[in-house]
Amino acid sequence: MPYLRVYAVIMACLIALFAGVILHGKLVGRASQGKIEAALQGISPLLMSPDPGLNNSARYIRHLVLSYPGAAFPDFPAQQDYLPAGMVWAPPGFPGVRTAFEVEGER
Amino acid sequence: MRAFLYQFDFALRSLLRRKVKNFSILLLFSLIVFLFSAVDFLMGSLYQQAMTALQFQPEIIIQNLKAGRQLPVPLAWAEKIRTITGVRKVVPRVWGYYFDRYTGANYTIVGLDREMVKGLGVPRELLPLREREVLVGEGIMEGRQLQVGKRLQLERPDEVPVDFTVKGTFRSRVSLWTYDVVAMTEEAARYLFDLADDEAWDLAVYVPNPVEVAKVGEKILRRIPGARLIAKDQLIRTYGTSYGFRSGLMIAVSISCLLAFFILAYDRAAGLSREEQMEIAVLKALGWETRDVIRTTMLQSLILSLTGFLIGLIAAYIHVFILGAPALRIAFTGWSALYPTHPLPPVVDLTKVMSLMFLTVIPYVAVGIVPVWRSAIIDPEVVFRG
Amino acid sequence: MNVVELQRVEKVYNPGQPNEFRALKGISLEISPETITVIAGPSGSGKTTLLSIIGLMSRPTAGRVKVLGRETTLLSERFRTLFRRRHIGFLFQEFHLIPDLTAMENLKIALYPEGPSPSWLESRCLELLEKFEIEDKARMRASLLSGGEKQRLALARALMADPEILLVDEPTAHLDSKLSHEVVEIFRQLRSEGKTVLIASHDPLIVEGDLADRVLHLKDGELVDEVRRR
Repeated sequence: MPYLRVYAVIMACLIALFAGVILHGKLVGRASQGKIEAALQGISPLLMSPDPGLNNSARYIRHLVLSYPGAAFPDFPAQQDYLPAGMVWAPPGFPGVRTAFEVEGER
Repeated sequence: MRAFLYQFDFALRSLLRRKVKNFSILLLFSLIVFLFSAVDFLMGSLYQQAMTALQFQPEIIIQNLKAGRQLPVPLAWAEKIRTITGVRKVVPRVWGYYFDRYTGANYTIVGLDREMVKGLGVPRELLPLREREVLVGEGIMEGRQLQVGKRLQLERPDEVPVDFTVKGTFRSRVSLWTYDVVAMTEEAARYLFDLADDEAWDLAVYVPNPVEVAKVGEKILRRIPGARLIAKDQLIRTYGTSYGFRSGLMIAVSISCLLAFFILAYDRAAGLSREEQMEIAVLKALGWETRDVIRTTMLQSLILSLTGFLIGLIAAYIHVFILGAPALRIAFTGWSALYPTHPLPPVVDLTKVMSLMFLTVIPYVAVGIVPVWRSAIIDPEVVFRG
Repeated sequence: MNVVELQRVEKVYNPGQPNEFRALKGISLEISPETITVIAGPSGSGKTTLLSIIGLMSRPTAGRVKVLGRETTLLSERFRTLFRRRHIGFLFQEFHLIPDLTAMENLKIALYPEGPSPSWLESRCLELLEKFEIEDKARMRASLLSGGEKQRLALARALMADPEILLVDEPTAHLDSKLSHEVVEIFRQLRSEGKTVLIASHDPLIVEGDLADRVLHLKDGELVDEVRRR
């Protein structure tokens, strides 16, 4: 049963890796979680949460735009992230930043 | 038992006889499991970190809205709220976003007052900050090629430059959260954003007893009608939804893989080729029972699907928690020019892993049984006759 | 005891349908042990069907079949398969080897369901390969063997379980004269080893030669003649 033997070795390696993944996740995860909790508590004054998702497009898209759910560029607390602008387009022109739009406006 | 092992060996041999087709199936299976697992691992880890971070956030955040637009909050509001029973403290916050045209990135500028500085977990030697000193996130250090002691120039809304000195940075363990943060004194932040001395951008209200949060919120609204209140549990729920949305998005993107999986399964369910039917008839003629034939086919499906599952899962774990999920992070950590590269702490939900296994391996094995059974119950002589 | 007994066996394909075909019409016969019986007849006379029924690969539409003293007509599929595996070897006209497997592997799969020890299985395969002088082809893929080698391999496979009965369908169909004579000698040898051999053929070398102890002539599914040579 030559094929079975080879496959048994492959499966044994995969299962060992799988078990390793689970163990690693549990042990390292638990250890990391403790450290992260302490660290996050330490920097919590720096985390501005009302733009939910502490990592969210809304942390920079501060258009004074429509604030209802389903708007093209929603910007209100508890809003979900959106596409496509949040992930594809550049940020809007802020005061002091020259953009093509501003140049046309000047003309 | 030995008969079973022989059949297992034969199943492997049969798979190797159609190498290209079966390796493609294995690869596709692994890819599907990889995508689903990687998304789940990443989402799980980020979500857990977010939940951990949120637990230290104020219970209520107050913003000022007029005509649906956000405006600075008068500091007088803080005085009205401090006297409400159940409120431990009210912290006016001066902070905002700064678009840096040199790096194309958005920074979060946070002004620290004495209260905030007390609880800040940075090395003692970095505090207190003097008026034009800043603590800078790793992403900004790299993006602007800064070092401790070097100058960081930012601009006010009227384009007046403001120079700061980099006093230090934040520890890498929390770099995901502080990557694009610039911490400075409250006075410096007010000056940078041109915010009046009697204003803040929002108020952080701390209510130790979670049961009292709703009541406190009501009282705040009675004293300050028109204020916008955001409760922490709202954020927790929304954050979960946001990640659910993002992971759903990623999974939608992998719809093409799902489609391929269903095509594979359909191919298996649709029936056997003439060649496969002949082989089954030969085995039956040699003395293999119907159940032996079905068992061998199921073993083939199990070998492919289980091996693919394990490969996909292990690859997903390594990709996310050892390599830092380079391919997927962008979708989950928000749009920013700054992406922290430190590996995330591993989070593995065994229930989800087993669920994924049951949703992929078992259907794939099951789908092949009926067509094989249909062929296996036919007398070999009928098949040989054609 | 007769090795095979058939009583008024009939086989109808697609009964009740427009393409209904009566392959066997009330065949009754007995086969004695350690004999070579040839079933002769033109194409379509029912030779292969008769072998399939005796070999328990097909059920008769009517009649009774007894093999090695055992009534097999009403046996379940499972027991028919077990019985066939242990007591009957079949050499097909088209050989029906699995082309991508090696010669050795083609032999082994015949006994996988029995679960013998690997060493015994290996030695049994080598024994048969040597017996039929194809031991040097053990690791060669079946698709690469010549016609004669394929037939000897198929014969070796049919004998893996050392069955009492060997059913052979048109053994010389794909062979030249020299190889045909060699095959005939093999059958003679098997008879001397105590096997009962039934050969379906329309080759004059087998039908009219001195190989058979008995020749049964089939025509349109009926037994029309019988010639006893010994």
